[in-house]
Amino acid sequence: MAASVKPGDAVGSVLGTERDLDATVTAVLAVGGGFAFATGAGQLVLASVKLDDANIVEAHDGAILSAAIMDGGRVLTGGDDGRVVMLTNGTAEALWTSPQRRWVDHVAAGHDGVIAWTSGKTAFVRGGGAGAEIKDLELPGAAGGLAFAPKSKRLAVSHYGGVTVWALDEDTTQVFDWKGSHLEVLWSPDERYLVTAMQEGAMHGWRTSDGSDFAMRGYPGKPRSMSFSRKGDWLATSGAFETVIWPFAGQGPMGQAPEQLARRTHMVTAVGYRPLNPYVATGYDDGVVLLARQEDRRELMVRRTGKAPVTGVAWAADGKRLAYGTEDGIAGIVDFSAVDGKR
Amino acid sequence: MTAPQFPSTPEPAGPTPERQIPVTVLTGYLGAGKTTLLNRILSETHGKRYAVIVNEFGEIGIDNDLVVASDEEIYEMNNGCICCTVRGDLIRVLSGLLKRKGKFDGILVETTGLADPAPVAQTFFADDDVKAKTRLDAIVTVVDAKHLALRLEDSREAEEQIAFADVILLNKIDLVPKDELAKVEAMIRAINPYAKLHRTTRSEIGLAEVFDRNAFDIKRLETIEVDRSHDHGHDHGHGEHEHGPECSPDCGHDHHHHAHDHGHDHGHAADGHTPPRHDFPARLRHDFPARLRHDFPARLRHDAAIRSISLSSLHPMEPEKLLKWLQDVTAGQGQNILRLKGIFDMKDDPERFVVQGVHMQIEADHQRAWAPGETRWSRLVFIGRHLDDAALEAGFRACVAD
Repeated sequence: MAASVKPGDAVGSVLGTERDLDATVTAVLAVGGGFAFATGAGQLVLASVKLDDANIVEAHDGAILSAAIMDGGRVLTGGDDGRVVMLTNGTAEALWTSPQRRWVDHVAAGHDGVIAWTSGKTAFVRGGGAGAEIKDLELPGAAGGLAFAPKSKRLAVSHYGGVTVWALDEDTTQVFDWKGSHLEVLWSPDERYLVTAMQEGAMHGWRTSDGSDFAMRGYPGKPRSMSFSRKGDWLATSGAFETVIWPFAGQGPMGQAPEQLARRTHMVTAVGYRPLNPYVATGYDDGVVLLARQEDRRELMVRRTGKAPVTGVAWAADGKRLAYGTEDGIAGIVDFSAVDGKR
Repeated sequence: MTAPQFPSTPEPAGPTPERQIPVTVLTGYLGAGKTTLLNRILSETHGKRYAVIVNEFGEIGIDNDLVVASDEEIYEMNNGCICCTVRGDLIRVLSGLLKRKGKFDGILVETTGLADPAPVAQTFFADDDVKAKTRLDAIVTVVDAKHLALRLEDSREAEEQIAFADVILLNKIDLVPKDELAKVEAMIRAINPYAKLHRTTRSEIGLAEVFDRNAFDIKRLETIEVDRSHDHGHDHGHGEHEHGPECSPDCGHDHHHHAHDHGHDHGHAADGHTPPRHDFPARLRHDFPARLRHDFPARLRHDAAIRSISLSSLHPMEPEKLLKWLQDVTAGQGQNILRLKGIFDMKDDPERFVVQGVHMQIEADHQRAWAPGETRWSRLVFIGRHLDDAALEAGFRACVAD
């Protein structure tokens, strides 16, 4: 892409098409060639390019609390109806139901069909094979986040007091502890690091090889959204009045200062690294979405205004299109292919 | 190892908030009648939608998708504040409920019978998302009239649940003779003089008495309701009673009795309507000194008994001094201060200034202009343990503007 993107000039904005889904967008995912939006009304809205032609599937009787993409374009969701649902070719099928009707707070999907979910203080894993059994693991506290390691051999579950890493083949666990409440959890693409977003305005990280840990502090809000750059050398985070980007190349962020990008007077609520190059899609608590280039901090306006916070952003695998969702139910898709083509 | 902090500008310029959903916290010792009240709220036709967060589905007789089960999880906040604990599960469940399509008229949180209400209340101070979308409306405590004395003997939690209450249902009154009921009410008032108290049978109460009380909304704090039906007011307002505040509340000296005599002149005025006639020094009221607690359960006679202190002044306060003093008091003694509420007349300020707090968490704001003809005065109530009356009064008095 050419280096001519400036805020305010003619090519300074690329706006998308939008649709009002009439319920909070709780997750935005890239799936197949398109996107999936999960809502607080239990719907999965599947759109390829045009939101008007989206396929709407009733997946849950209540809010979808979490969603993940499986191999082959399937979508996995967990809801406050206590169910885990898999969507295959537009058909929703319940895979599991909580016997106590407890919420399914988090879901995650690995390779080859392996899936995981949490309900209260229990984590569950189901292998990918036909008739695969469900294994469960009791946690020291309710799960705050759930993530498969990129190779899908390990599952990280965050909770109060740290992260439990479950080695699935060995069925052993290892705890990376740090005082406080850990919410979302994420692995670096090379599995060298585990990071969590904490309740008290901080991030925490561990080097998985030796368990050494580091605090990344100073957020005025909760850093709920995290995204690694494709190579894993940068971690972009929300929870401040700019996107805060920690360096993970080399020896990691220990002793290093973060970079700051896309500063505004509004809180960043959603971040997503573009798969092609270090551009960060950034959503704010006033509904604005920007695309900011890390190299020279130039910004491209993607959504000029809104009424409620952006709840999620997601890039298509080829980086050509970006989707976003908001708390007041707006789903948007932005197509950058025309812009890319011109430059 | 710690990565360096990065600078950040706290400019909270968020979008206009939607209406905050009121959250009512329902506490009460085991067997007091909480579940009966819950089932009434869920089964009666009242045209309102309430989401209910419970610990166990088992006790709730109604299958309702607005009922959510949640295990109480107490989290310490890593913010250097030793008593700042929150209900981590509540943060999660409330944010989950807010994702649902179709809003609620309110959310009811049932605590376990053995719960300390502080972490629930502090959740509404400590979490930004919870604070933005919901508001703590009131803590409602159901008390078993027949067994209260026994409960107070063996349970610190029963005492705390009363201390934190904005509304108290004194339940099962049909099982207790009248004179005993008066004594039970006196025990409650010794712990908490300002909660609204209702006598009930089988938890029968109008829902308007439970929901939308705005007890935690400082913008709506019009009066500090101190129930004085059992007041043995001990005003040390006159200069000649200088010795009063120096005595411990349990000293039992007969100046209490003396004060009681002239206390009647003004002691029965409902707070907020008629200011005290005494102006300076600040008025100090020991609620239920030891002398009057002789037939109470041991817990209420103990040094660590929860009790309250009311302070007031007709002279305006010095804002900087007062705020610093409140910060110092809550930082230093926050563990012992369960709740505080205050309405202040600040010097050169046309608006009422209001404060409320739970342990070390305090919230303060301008509220509204003093109305024409309204008597401007300041009043402050602490409920807590080991409260140093003399020090609190002296500290308060030092904040009066010159």
